[in-house]
Amino acid sequence: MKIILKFSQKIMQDPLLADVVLETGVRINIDRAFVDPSIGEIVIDVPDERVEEVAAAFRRRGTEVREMDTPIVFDEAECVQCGACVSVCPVEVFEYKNDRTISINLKRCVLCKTCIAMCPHGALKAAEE
Amino acid sequence: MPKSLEEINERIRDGSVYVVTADEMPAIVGELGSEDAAREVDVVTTGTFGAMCSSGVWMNFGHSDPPIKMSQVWLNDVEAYAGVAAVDAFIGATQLSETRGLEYGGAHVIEDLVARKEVHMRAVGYATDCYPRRSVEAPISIVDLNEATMLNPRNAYQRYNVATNSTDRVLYTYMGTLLPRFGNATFSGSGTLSPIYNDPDYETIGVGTRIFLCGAQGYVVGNGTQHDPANSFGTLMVCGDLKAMSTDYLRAAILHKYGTSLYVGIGIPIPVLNEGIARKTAISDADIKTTILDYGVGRRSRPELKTVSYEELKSGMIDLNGKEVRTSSMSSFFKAKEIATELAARIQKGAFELALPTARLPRQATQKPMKQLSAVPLVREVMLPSITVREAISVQEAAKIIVGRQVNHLPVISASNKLIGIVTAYDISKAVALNKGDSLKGIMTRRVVTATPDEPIDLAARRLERHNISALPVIDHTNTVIGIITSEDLSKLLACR
Repeated sequence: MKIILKFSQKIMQDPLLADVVLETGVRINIDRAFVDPSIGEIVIDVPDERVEEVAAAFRRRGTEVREMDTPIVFDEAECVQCGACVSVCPVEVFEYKNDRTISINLKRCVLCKTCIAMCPHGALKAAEE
Repeated sequence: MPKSLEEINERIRDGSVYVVTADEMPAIVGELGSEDAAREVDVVTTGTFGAMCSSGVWMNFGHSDPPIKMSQVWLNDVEAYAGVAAVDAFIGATQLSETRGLEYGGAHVIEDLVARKEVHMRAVGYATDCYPRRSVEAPISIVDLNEATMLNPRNAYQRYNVATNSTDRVLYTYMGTLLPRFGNATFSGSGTLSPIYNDPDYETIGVGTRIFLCGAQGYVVGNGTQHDPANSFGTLMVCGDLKAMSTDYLRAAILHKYGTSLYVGIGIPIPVLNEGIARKTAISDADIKTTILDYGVGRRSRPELKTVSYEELKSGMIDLNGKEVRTSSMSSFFKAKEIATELAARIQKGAFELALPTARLPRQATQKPMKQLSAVPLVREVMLPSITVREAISVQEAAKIIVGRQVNHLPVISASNKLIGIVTAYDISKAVALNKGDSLKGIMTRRVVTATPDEPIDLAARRLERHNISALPVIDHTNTVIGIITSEDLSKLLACR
């Protein structure tokens, strides 16, 4: 499952991820990280059965933790099945099916949002954060 | 045994016609041979659905009371061309809204009209004795227009080049987002379903050919602009009644940081009059080749990287210099097939008869580049000699040079005369103000944005703008500084054009 971590400038210097990995022993995969002077945001992938434990470890360290349930909203009525989204996605959310329609597997999404700008028909939008 | 078009239309009327879509023909001809295929199949339908910027609609608004001669007219703040008779105007797909910019354009107005939505019309004119009124405003919908005739100067490109990007930054183009370092490739066109590729000698597609245009019956007007049949880049000019169109086959689009375009759905039926036509409609995705171009080079002639087939492109992955590059189609093959299938169904049930062209399209036209009064100057023609310095000199020495030579930028070079950094007058002031830096080493910018002598100055100007800087050292292939080009000098030059 994918989780979004948000942390303030105050704790940005701390090796949060390393600490949590050492504490829990869970193998965490970093999908995306964004840091600017005021806030840090990291999307991580955690095995489903360990999510509670990992989330709790981050919360104890002052991190805001949220599940990323519906990262991208897909509007089927606007989609023309061109597949412009297919080649810009870093994690292969979109794929051509045999009938040339597009299959979408949002579970893989890391919310880089490249597809949102790429879609000529505005069929992809970011879920309200 | 050749068939006549009249025989085929007779079969359409009595319901015995046999119609297939063009993607089925390779297998049919492969199995039966072209002679038997020509006997069996009466009509092959083609289709395409993609961004076609050269599209638009002629409208007639009817006369107001008192009447006006519109000199300018806007629909939802998108200007339409009104330099014709009093209340006629042409709205083009890529014209942008004056209030909403890249978010809304002529294509959206056209889609809104087809969707039976109301749009706000506003027009101004100069008063004459016969047209005394100066302005008019009204909400209108498609039923209020006397005529709404789609007339697209260039549609249905036979094939299209593939776009990719060699540079280190993301490019936003009419071929979509191109990721850095060949991160992806985008293409367009329906390959085996391509109307012109199924009739490459223009035997049945010509002036007056009846076609499927965005759900309506339309016609081929003639060749499209930039028609280049000799190089398999043929195009068509088409027209049709907007009032009979459907948003199932017509969609407005926004290409990020580029502008708006219209996705147009076109289906062209090809009557199988003889064996030769049957053979040509058997063309497959593997037979249709196109070229991968590097859109990282902002010139008319972009470097050609490789030739690929539509079969490879549609596989979702191509090989480029040993690297696997993912591909995206900007046009929809699914919709193209839907259009070819819908057209086949209409013919099958007798709702669409075929028409032979009244005149043939040019088969040898060639395209010239734009006639330009003068070539865009190259960087080498306008660059100035640059004063360079070594990184070991003090901030004060650098300040002296800047004041003494009246320059704002000092490229910093190594012992072997290679560019290693740049210092500006601002960097010097800052160093003085903060009381730091004995040498330039600590204050210079090391990632220098540069220009090369053989590029047009417009590219250098765009680079200055993008990085929000005011000068580019000009370097040769050995990274040696051979001059400098500044925004000050460029703006003087551009102002004189």
